[in-house]
Amino acid sequence: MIKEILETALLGTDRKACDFHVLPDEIGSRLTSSTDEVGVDKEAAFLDAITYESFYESMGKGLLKWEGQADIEAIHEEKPYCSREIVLLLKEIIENGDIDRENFLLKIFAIIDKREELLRPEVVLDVLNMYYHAGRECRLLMRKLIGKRGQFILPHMPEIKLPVEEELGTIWEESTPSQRRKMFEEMHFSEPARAIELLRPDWEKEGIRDKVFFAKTIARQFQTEDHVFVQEIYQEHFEDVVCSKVTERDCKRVFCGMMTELQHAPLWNAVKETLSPYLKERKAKQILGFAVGKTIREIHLPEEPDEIWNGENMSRLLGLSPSNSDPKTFEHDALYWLNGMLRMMPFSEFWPNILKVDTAGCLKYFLKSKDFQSIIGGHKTAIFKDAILHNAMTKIDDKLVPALLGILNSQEGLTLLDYADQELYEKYVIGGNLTQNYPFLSSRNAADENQWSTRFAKRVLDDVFAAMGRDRFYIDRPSGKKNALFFPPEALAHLRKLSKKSENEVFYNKWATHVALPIERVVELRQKIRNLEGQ
Amino acid sequence: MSYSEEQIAVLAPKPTAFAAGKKLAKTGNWVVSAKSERAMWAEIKGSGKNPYKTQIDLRNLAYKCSCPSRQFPCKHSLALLLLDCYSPDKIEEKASEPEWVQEWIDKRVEKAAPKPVKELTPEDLKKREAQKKKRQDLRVKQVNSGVGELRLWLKDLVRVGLLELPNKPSSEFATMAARMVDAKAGGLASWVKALGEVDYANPKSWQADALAIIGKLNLLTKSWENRENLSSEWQQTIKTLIGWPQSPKELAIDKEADSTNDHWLVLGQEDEERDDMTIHRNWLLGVKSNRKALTLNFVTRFSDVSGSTIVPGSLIDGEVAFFPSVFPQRAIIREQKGFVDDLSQKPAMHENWGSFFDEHAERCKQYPWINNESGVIQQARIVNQKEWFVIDNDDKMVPISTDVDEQSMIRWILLSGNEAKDLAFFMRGGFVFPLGIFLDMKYQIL
Repeated sequence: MIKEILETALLGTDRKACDFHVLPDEIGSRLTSSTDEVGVDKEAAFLDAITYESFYESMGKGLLKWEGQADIEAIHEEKPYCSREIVLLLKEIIENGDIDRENFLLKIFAIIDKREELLRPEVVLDVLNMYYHAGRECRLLMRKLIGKRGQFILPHMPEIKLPVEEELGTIWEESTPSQRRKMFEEMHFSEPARAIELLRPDWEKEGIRDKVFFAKTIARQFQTEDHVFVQEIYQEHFEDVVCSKVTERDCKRVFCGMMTELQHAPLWNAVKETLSPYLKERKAKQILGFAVGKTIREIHLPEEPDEIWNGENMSRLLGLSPSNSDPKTFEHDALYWLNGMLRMMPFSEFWPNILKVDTAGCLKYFLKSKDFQSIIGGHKTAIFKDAILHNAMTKIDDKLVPALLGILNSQEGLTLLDYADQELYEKYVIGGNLTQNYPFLSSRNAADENQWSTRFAKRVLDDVFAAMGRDRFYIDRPSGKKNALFFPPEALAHLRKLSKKSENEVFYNKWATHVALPIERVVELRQKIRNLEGQ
Repeated sequence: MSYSEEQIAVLAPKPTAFAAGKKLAKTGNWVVSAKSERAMWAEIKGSGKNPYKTQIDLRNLAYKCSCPSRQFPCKHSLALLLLDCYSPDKIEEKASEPEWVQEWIDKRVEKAAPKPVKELTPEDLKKREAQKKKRQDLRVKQVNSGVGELRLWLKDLVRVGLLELPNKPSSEFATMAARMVDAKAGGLASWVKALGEVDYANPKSWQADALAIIGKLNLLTKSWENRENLSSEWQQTIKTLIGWPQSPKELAIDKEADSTNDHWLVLGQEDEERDDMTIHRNWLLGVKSNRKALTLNFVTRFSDVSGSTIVPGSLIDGEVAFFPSVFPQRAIIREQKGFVDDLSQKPAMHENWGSFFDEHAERCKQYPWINNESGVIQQARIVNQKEWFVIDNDDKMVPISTDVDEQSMIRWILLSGNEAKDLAFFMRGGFVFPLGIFLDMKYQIL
């Protein structure tokens, strides 16, 4: 822009007269002479100058030259793209609000991954726009399948902050502890060996709180790739070591917990030896004792610390706290330490060997024995219940879960249902009259092996249909979507029969939106995915 | 021709309507679904007692549905288009339409056809001419008065200096714009409003933006004052710029109007919300004739929304008529014969930015108010240097407007993989607005 014109324009013609000769000669002279004409004031002449100037500007300026890389590198993918059929299916899933999208996205991504293909470019943006709301596993697959083109655009999507592959080592070195934690957690999930490789050389330098975090992360996702590392750290730092600090003991406990899962680990024998001197046998009561001579094994622990059951030994063995930190529940220290063992040792593999009864017998002993009851808040409470529940959930013990479900009341058992097999689950749900409780049913993990049996699906539909009509039972949309995932196609005819029975429009709309349509869509999509898998 | 999913998504008034349409297309209870050469129709069971009757005019894309939805097109119309896209086999081909469809289509054809002109007596003609002249004279008088007032205001602005502009209350611009509206000079009012809407918080751009608008307003008001000395074509153009309305209906029946038959590629679309109105812009390019056209639809909440819809990326076989102007740009689709599936040839393209701007400069000389000009440039790439730029094969670059959604740029990279592709765009205020790229013989909207 011509400086002279701009200055006059900004300051005003009253303050600064414009020298029109800055414009091309013909125009400049004409404007200068025009101010002498009658009826042409200096403002009018200056407006004309502005017009000439802006016209000149709008004709186009000199073009800028690209000074960057001379030849911008084209992005070529090494893997082929997935089929258009998959793209259509993906779009169908992304745009469908009736279904639990993530479940299906994971399935499709797994197919693409297995075929060693990539998402087609036309669908990458739609997929990445779902990134923010996706779960961890889904996110990792998204990253893997978007290819180089997808990776290239990531810096332009500020909501997706991800390190690029080549920079992982540097990022690990330079990150803050919280960034390292997050990075390790994500990586250990998808690439455990790689994550361990990053952590191993730095283990010594890590702060104890970070060590606890990394240990807990490994324990939560304990995989074969972790075994050697866990054994090494345990042997070097924790085996036969008394930890004086609370956080060190926490860390040791996590490692001991993992070590107990490795069959034939020396730790098993050590715990067994600690218990052996305190095992007593007595004759069973009543007829079994008199007639068959059956004996019952019991654990008689010392009420005061002795040479085996004392704080130092317990800390050395399993990283347990040297003193009872919950005296309200545990009458003496030994009960507190036994509680720790019950939390950590694989229940149905370890305790039947000790007590010489099956899992149910062990459970009965620990939960019903008078020696292990305490009055808390005026109620008689089994002091080891929480520890055993924790054990059942963390070790996913398929013998312990059914045994526990047989003993616990329906409310207590709910937390365990996710770990029960399908048959037991359905039995428990029907027994507990929970079939019409759609939100409760939706809390189960929607894995293929948890698909409802046809009989159970029909029962749930009947009960929900009746409850919706009778009690105006409200079903929320998320549980409708989630429960559809468990539905077997064999029960589809029954669903349609019920849909036809809908009495009025309002009822039908509710039924269709929250129950029928999600199921129909899921069954259809599942079939399409199966067809894809079969190709 | 069936529309693609992307094209149908653009037609949807809201993403939720599109999603609902998709759902219906997949799971809807279709009683009837059929199409003929000129229409597609369906009966679909909804929450009402009777099935909804949905019909689509395929020749001149328009919809009608018996559902009570106030969205347009409704989910049933979208579902029918999608059904045709996903499962064309579910749509029965018929030679003729049922009565209820035929009636609607015939009415639309009839409405579009030129009306027989009533024979007028010489007296009637004289009377009509006299009335017209009276109205014109009154309007010219009003515009004269408005132009005079505006010139005084402009002079006042440059006398005091534009440094005062950022401090002026927006009401001052609004008041001046309202006066121009009263003076029947809507075109001038828009420029005054634009001057009030300049981003005065941006020290880099406001001075140039304000000067450009003032320069254009000065040229327009002076051209108005000088109109008697201009050609009739220029007079018409100046009137249009001042605010004389252009009637698409009159253009549609004007046999003398400048028009072209071609395969028209819809390069892109833009919706601009302005006050209580939405302006739909569509950039069209004649593949054989290489003519460029810009269609404008002004939609208010009182507008009749059952009009035609243009689908970005589609290839329309039809006749486009241009409003008279020294630079014919605004146009209407006078006749839509149908759609063409594939591009038979690529349109003419500029070799590089230099070639485009050379021609642009020539056009500026012809018509200094040129704006929203579309073009196609060969072998363009996109780069980001804090801002986005389009680079040509000569490594010359032009900035992309910050008003462009970044997802368009991302889509471009994904689809092209950084390889140079032919790009369709329009220019506004010295910035590029990318519209689509050509992937071999397929045009892809960005």
